[in-house]
Amino acid sequence: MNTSRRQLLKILGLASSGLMANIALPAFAQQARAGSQGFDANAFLHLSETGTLTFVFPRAEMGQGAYHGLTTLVAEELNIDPADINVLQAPADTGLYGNPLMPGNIQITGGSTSMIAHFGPLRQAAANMRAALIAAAAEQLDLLETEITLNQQHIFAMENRYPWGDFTGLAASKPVPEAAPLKSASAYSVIGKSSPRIDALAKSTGTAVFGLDIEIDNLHRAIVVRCPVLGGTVKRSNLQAIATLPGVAGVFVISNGVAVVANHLWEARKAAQNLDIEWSLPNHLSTIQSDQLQAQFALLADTDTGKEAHTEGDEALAFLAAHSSLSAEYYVPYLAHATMEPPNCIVRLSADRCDIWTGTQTPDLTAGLAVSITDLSPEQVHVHNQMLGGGFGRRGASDYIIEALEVAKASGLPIQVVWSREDDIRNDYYRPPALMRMRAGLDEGGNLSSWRGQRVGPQITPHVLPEIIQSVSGDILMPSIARWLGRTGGSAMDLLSVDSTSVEGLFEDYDIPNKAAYQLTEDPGLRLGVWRSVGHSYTAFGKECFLDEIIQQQGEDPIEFRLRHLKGNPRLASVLTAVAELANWSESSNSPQHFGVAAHTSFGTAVAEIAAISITSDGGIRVEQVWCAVDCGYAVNPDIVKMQMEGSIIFGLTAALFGEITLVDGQVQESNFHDYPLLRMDETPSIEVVIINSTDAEVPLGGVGEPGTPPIAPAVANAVFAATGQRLRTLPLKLSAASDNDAPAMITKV
Amino acid sequence: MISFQINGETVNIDVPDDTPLLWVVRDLLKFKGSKFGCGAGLCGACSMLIDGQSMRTCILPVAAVSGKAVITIEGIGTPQIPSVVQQAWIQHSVAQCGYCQSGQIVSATALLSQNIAPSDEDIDAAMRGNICRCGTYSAIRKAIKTAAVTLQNNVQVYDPSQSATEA
Repeated sequence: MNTSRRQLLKILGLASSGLMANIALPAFAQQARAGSQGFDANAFLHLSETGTLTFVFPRAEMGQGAYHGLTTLVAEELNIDPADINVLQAPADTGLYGNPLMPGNIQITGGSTSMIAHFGPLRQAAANMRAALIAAAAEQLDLLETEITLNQQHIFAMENRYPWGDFTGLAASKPVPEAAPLKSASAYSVIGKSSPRIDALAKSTGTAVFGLDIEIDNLHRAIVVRCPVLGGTVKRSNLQAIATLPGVAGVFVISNGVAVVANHLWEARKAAQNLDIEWSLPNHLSTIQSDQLQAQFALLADTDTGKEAHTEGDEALAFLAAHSSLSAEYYVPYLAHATMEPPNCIVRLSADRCDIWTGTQTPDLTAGLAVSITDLSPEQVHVHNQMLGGGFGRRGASDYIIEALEVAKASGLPIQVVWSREDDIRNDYYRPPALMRMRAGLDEGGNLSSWRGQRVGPQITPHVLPEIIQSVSGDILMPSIARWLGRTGGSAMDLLSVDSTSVEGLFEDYDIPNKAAYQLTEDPGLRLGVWRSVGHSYTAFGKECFLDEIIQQQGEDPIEFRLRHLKGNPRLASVLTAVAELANWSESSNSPQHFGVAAHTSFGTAVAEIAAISITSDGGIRVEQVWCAVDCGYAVNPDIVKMQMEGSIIFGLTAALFGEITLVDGQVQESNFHDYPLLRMDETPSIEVVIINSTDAEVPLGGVGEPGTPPIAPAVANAVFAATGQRLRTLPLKLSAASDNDAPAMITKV
Repeated sequence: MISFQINGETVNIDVPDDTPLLWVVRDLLKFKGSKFGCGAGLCGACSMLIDGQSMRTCILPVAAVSGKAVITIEGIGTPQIPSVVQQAWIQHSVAQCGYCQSGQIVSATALLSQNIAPSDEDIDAAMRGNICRCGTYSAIRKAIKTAAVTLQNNVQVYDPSQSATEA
């Protein structure tokens, strides 16, 4: 109870987001060891008497490789093969398994933080365990610690070897060292090396368990029919007519629709076809046509600058004084996540216990929502997180969990809410649309003297806050009041401040003495969430395409011009240089394909990408090849870094070439992969990735799950310009005879 | 009552004829390796081998497989005895989230059953029905080529009799 109160205060902004240099390990060891078999070195590591090492994995695995990556940290310090470690998914517990890089220590997997957050603490946890075992072995064998080594689950001493489980009893009775020395990087045998992913076997044999795969006794399946305009509620419905259909165990009105519960999913689906529901539509969203948003945003930008999000020097003055200047405008639409595993959640509820099986990026928020909806206490709620069939930010939202809790409560049955693909595409927390109005000035030497980015569109926070507030206040506020507070708080924030995700990436990368960024908020009302690379997913498009326009008008080389403005950003300069070499950029004019380049820093990682494209005979854009250079600091798992870059590029290519969620009268028009297509194998370019491994110890680790996505759309758009002379300023990229290819002229003072 | 073979064993199922095979296999027969992705035959996550062909079972009425042989990912190989294709998948650490990979392996298995030396174009044609949102396509291509080399040395693609109904 106190925990969630503290959380509430923290989330409401009374605590910093807390980038911590030294993260103390949770003081869990004493309690955990009392009464347990074997040796609990800390909240993360347990060694049984029979020698099985268990690692409690504190994050969620959604494909990004943290399950393998964090396990290799433990393996390194304990000299064990990662495949020999028993990995358990952590329970919901903010105190023990929260993410120290997130506000309020929320147990969230996101923001490309998993390796950054755990690289130090997990190695320390494992090193402490190693030191404790060696000390115990020394005492038990009556030897000096220096005569003892630990390797491959054995203690080696005086040419003898003993199973390491033999020393758990003594180790458990002693205090665990808190700051045992860590291995030096030169001694690494797993970190920094290639190792086969420990989840590869299960994921190649159909035995990896996702939320949808869980079975429990008497499990019923539930589907929810939701309002065609997201956020609408049920006015009236023919529930009785459905209740008697074959297999149906119950029909219920819940907060966002009608739930049909049946013995089997197919029975629920068939029964639901007979539902007749009258909806109460959300007022504002019901009036929204997405094909008018760009013009509406532009009209607003004509009369209002919005809130200042960043300023350096005096952009307005510098722009007026510039030798030459350019302005242009870019637009990106709403996007859905489309994780391959549609949302699903099992809830089994009794008078004194609630069990939840699902895949979530936020298990502690899940537990808080259960407290809010069931009136049980936090100790009575048990979240069993599973492998996630894709996350990308979608499973940071908990609407499907709320639905399952409400259906379980209403029906009194153990139920699994299963979403269809149509449910998923039409009920997402969407990547927001964004209009980006850019202007820049250059001095007589052709160097950038001023840069301004104005972003127009809705902000994410007001849309994700209600669930968070409901979760963290579950034991003190009614759900409806908590959600109201979240909405009100979110609206207030919209009025008062700029969400950093709205403009992140729009202005930071290049050396320009005068900069300004603005956020002008206009919210059509469709709910929003974090989508792989968040604000960077669009700001890189505005920034890098606009830069390319300036460079083309200056008649300069896109690599050289960028490098000249990256003296203060050596990491981005180094990846740009590396990718130019990799793609043989200097010879690109001899290629039958057309090249475009973009570079962008996000989540602490610098990435540069070059796309080579051709135009098909029917006027389509075919991306033939992509080269990528990445500097994420030290590459802990190089294979995973490369695969995350490849995956992020393909994710970004889908958005660049196809991605668009459209609204008619507020209703999402797309529904499945025929009208919301994802890149397929035959459309995928060959991708070559090079890792620039920083040798500078002062360079902090960067994330790898997201930074590969932002540069690809501008790299392709810039290649399209090279190929056709058409400057496409809207995503998805579509060539047409009457495209917006009329280049705005560079204005030069006489 | 509909009768068919699943991973080498005959089963009799009493469900409405139009129930998609996928849900019969997952929720009644409890083989959970085949996944639900779209319900419209567009993504391939639900792929199973029906008399050796990779088919989309989320739209295949169970009545359509009456008397036929259905092989799921569990029938292709097991963690103890992974098939040649699965071994190649493991060797290349193909999977990211892993959700689509059962379907990918089924389609790759069908391809390699008929063609042990597929060209890039053959691979594109056989695999374009299987979406991977994580973007593991290049690793899938490498794994198929690795498996193809092994198969060219006369190893069986899969042996349903070895792994029947173990999962």
